[in-house]
Amino acid sequence: MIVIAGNTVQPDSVGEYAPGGVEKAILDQLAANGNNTYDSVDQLKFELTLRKEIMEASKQLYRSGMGFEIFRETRCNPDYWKRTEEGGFLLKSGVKPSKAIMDIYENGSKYGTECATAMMIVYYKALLTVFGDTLFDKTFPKIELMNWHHIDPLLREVGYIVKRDVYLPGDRRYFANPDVDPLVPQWQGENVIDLGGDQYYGHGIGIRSAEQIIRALNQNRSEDADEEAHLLDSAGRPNFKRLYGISRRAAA
Amino acid sequence: MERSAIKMNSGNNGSTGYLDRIRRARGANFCKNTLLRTERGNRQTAVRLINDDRLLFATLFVLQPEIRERGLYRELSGRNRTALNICQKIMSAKYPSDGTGSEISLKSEEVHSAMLWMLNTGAADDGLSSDFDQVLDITASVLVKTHHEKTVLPVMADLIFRRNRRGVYNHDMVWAFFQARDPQSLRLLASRLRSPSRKDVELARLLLNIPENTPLNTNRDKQKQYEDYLAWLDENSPYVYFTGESLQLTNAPCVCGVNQEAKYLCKDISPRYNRPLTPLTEEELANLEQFHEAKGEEQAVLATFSSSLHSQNQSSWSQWMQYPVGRQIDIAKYGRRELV
Repeated sequence: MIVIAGNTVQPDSVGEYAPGGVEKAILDQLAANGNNTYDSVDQLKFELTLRKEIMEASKQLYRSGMGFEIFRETRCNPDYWKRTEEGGFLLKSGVKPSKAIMDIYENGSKYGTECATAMMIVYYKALLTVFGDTLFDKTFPKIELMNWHHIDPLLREVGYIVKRDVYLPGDRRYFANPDVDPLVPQWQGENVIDLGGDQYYGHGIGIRSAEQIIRALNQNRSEDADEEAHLLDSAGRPNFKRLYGISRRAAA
Repeated sequence: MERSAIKMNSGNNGSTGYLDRIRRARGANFCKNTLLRTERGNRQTAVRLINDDRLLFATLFVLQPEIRERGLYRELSGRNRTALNICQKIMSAKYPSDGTGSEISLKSEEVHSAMLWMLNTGAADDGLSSDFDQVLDITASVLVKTHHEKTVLPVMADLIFRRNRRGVYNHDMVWAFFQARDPQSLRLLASRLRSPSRKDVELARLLLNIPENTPLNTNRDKQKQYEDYLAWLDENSPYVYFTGESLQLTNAPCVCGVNQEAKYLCKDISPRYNRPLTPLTEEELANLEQFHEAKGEEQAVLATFSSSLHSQNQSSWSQWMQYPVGRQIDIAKYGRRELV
């Protein structure tokens, strides 16, 4: 059910979204599952747009040529980022955040990191597209990319992963591999973005179906494994309403 | 306090070999040159220095290229050969094999013993190099996951907090620590709630999933939280299970939970599988059916009361378990005068 300003609405009344499109699919799922409340139509539309851009940013990052590296061996373009002792990337002072995020997409081969940090890069790129350079630079003057840690308070919720009424394209999901071979702890699980239609983007693993990701994880289990890799019944999401508030105040 | 666990488990009573002392006093390069000079003068002496029982793993690690270059591998002790094979296996994804036997089974007792030496004597030199730290991480995870070795948990806890203080990567070591799935290991983290280091306290709070707004500023606050946590653990440890959540998954991992059904039945569970260690009896199944009739909050009340009563008076507990769930709740909430 979709409730806007206290009134239940039908997906078709939200806006002109093409049948078969991402936004329409998300609207239909929201209408059919749980109680999804919004203050305004624009607030809902913002979520649809940001979800679509999260998916788009995932596909672009996949094509960017960014390498997969464990934290101890991460690399970044020193023109924009300083590699931290932990293996994260810290925005250099004097550098525009929007330029630094775009550099990851334009010079992907200069970067290498693991799957969780890639998710953070996806979120920043999606917000850059939705906000535009000026608002993005003003909103995120300091960025540290290090899996779910040192996250900007505005994006804190993406680090939490909890059970949801419905799982939607643009969600952050996690495939766990409890019996991973201890020699390769980087295969303990895969952070992914749900692209809809049983397709997921995971950095290092690519765009794959759930079954393909589970198969890849299972191939990296210990000899005496007795538990299969599996998709967790939970998801991480940004606080869409708070981010919409920033966007609306900037437009006013 | 930081060094205590390492010293205790080092297996060499804190004494070190000649090459260790050279490395620590004059640096790795001087140590390497010393070995090469010795080997040129008297090969057997060089071999004896490396095979010294007191040698620390870090020294063997830095001498790997010289050992290979001078063809000393075959003359090494079993422990040293195994340790180098383990390093080779760990690094095999990064460097091509040089034929020193990386195809070893990590399950063997020989590997278990060598890994204990590697971690226990290597931990003090954490930070030596990225490769060395990675070897320590993986050694710890193999010991815990493959060999179910729990004696290394204090050393691992020390490493986790020392790395955190230095601001270097510790997520793999944290992950390996929780792979032990040992409720008692949580005590090692809880003790850091009392640390004078703010970084220690904050990390302990995060790993124990203590709410962010919990007061932990004064020594009294810290002591109280520490005691509260231990009291919680004493009450719940037979019913604690590990969720598998890690820092790779979330910024606020909830690493363990309490199985309320098991607590209600006073039935120990497997911390890994979150299932009772022994099958439920007919009576227990019937009790559980009653338990499911209660609401969520009432279930927690029932579970807490049940485990408390069980530990105080088993006969009263047996009597209470016979009552209908409504009466059980009343007694749990308002008193137990009805119990004999």
